[in-house]
Amino acid sequence: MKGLFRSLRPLGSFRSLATASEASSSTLVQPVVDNLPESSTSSVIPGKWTPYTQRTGAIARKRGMTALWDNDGRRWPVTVLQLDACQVVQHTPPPPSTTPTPSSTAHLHTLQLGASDRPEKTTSAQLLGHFRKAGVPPKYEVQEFRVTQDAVLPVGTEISAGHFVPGQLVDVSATSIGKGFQGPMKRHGMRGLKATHGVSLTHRSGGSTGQHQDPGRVLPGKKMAGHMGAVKRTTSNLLVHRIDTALNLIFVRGAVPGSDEAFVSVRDAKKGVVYKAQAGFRKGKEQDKWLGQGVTGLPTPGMSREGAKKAGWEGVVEWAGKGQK
Amino acid sequence: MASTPSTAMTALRSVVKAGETSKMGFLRTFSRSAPAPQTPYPFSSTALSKSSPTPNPTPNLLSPRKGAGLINHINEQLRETYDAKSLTTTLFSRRHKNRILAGSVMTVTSYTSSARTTTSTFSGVLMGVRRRGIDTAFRLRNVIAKVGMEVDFKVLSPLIKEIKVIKRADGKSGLKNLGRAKVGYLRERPGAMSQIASALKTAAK
Repeated sequence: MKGLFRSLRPLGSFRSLATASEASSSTLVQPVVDNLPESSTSSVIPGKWTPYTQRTGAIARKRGMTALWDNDGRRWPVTVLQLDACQVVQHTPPPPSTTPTPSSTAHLHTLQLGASDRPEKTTSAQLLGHFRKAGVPPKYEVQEFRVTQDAVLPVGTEISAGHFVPGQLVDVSATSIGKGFQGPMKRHGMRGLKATHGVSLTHRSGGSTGQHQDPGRVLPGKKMAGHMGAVKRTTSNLLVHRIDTALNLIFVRGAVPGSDEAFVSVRDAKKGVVYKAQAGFRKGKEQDKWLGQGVTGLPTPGMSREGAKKAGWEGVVEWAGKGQK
Repeated sequence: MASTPSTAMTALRSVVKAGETSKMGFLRTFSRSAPAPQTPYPFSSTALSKSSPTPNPTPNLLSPRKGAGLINHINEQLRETYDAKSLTTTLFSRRHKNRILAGSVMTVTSYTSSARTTTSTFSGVLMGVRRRGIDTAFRLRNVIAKVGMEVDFKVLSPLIKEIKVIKRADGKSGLKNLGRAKVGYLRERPGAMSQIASALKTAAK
């Protein structure tokens, strides 16, 4: 049954991106995108990443952590994120009469992604219909990403680890590990009271909760004991150290919220990629310098599994050390 | 600008396209020694690329129910890359017949910078081995100018040039078999350290 659904996916629905060169060059391959609205307000070159392009993120599974050594002899603790059948489930274009303004997001398309196939038996009838309409197998996790028009992917595209480039920064969001009811020392980093010298029964308490007659009450938001964890948290500007397109792995430097097997959302870093590239563009920097660490471009609109295979580059790509090779 | 010649790239693309169907499959199965030509990675001018150690992964690696098996697989692949001398499976293993015992005297020669031009040596008694797969490490203790010094080394660090065992603590070649994994008590035993110093002196000769 699973094989049947996989075969319904549009095969070779789009091609991968070539280098950051002009549109007239023979190396640039035009993406074949479906479901685009009639009017195109964007004048960008299709398939070329710009600092004002908002690409889709991906839903990955946090598999665990390990360590990688680079050519300089430096050790990097990395988190292993795996893209487990991350497919586009729905594409919602913006309402027809929205012109882009700097602050509004109404002109953006919405891509709904699903990750991790689940058995039909455990999927509700409503969700089954939703996935059947898209022609994808039912998924455990569904999330939405806002994208610009040049980054729209056709429904059914399976996102590959090649969507992210070693050397780029990403923001990773997930539900943090739940800690239950915790005291202020753990929850808010308070210092507590002394261990000795007469302190009675309040070694780990939060101490004073306010002033005196004015304001004469405890102000709202006072840091106290309570439930901790199990909330969505985002770790920003994590460097992608290595990608493995065969196993669909992204090795991200540092730690990531959530427990193992948790669903995490991986997106191009808002500050480290988007804002940095936009500032570089406004200052007139060279295209290769918009992104750091030797990254010259990002696959736009995205990188599918078929695209990664057809591209012909080797399966494992790694960030090189800063020093000698 | 990224330097990829457009004509060469289109030529390569046509080769890949032409050989894509059955021919590529034939090549993959029957001639592992002659891989198909790979196009350069277009999105980074400095990234290094190599072929995946698991080109055709099984479903239990692509969509595992629990990721621990995948992490073990990744660590095994990393160990093959980083541990060319098989140190973690021989010298620093738990049960190999030539494994090193705590109390042995060793010398480590390591590079001081990523340029790998100069080296530095540190000798001392092995305090213990911390076995964690690719993060396996060991600690050496020595007394230099009356100051006790302990240094940790990661076994699979690329900056380690050489690990030499000068005297084994196996009870046969001079040093006693201390009979335990971690010998932190040697910090309070200056007499034991003088024994190590003499072993190092004889080795230097």
